[in-house]
Amino acid sequence: MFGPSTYFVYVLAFSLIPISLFWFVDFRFLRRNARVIGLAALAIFAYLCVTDPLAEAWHTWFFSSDRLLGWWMINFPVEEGLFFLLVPIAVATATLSFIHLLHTAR
Amino acid sequence: MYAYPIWLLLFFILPLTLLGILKFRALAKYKLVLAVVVIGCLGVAVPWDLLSVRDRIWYFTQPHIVGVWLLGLPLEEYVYIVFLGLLSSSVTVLLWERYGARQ
Repeated sequence: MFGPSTYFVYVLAFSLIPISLFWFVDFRFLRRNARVIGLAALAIFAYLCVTDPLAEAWHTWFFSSDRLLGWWMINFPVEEGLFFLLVPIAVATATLSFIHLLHTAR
Repeated sequence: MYAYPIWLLLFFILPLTLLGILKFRALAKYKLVLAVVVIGCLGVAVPWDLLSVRDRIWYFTQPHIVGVWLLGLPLEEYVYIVFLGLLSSSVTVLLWERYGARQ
């Protein structure tokens, strides 16, 4: 749909929209716990940077070069690296928001 | 052959099972949160994945996958979404228990 920027646009849209929504709703709590989000995202980012190159090498999936920006890190596209960073931030943000919601409800 | 399910087993299913055994008490307290997060992950990631497969950003071929397709995605993709969500959420919960600012 977006030519070589397709994967890049999808990564930004599908991760930044949920992240923004959670931060908009629960900004104060999330800001106080930004360290937890940062540490969790960093841990998962590092883990995916180690395991994903094996997935690429084993041909678990294939990328179409005409849907990518064309910059590669190790053996995966730079958009995949962005995925490794933004998706854990989104999941960590959602996890903390739901913890806060449950604590508040109790 | 079956590279994707083997990769999932080695790097997601086994490590998460081990984490679940080692940190069972801490994680069990948050089972509702973990369940909601996984449902949320499926709600966001499945449409994203479907669009990506439709636009052919990425694609899958046998014999690297088992070959079972559900609603336009290989079974392995659902396992990846669920286990990546669970792993990220579990790590967050464990860090929250240690460093979380509750007030």
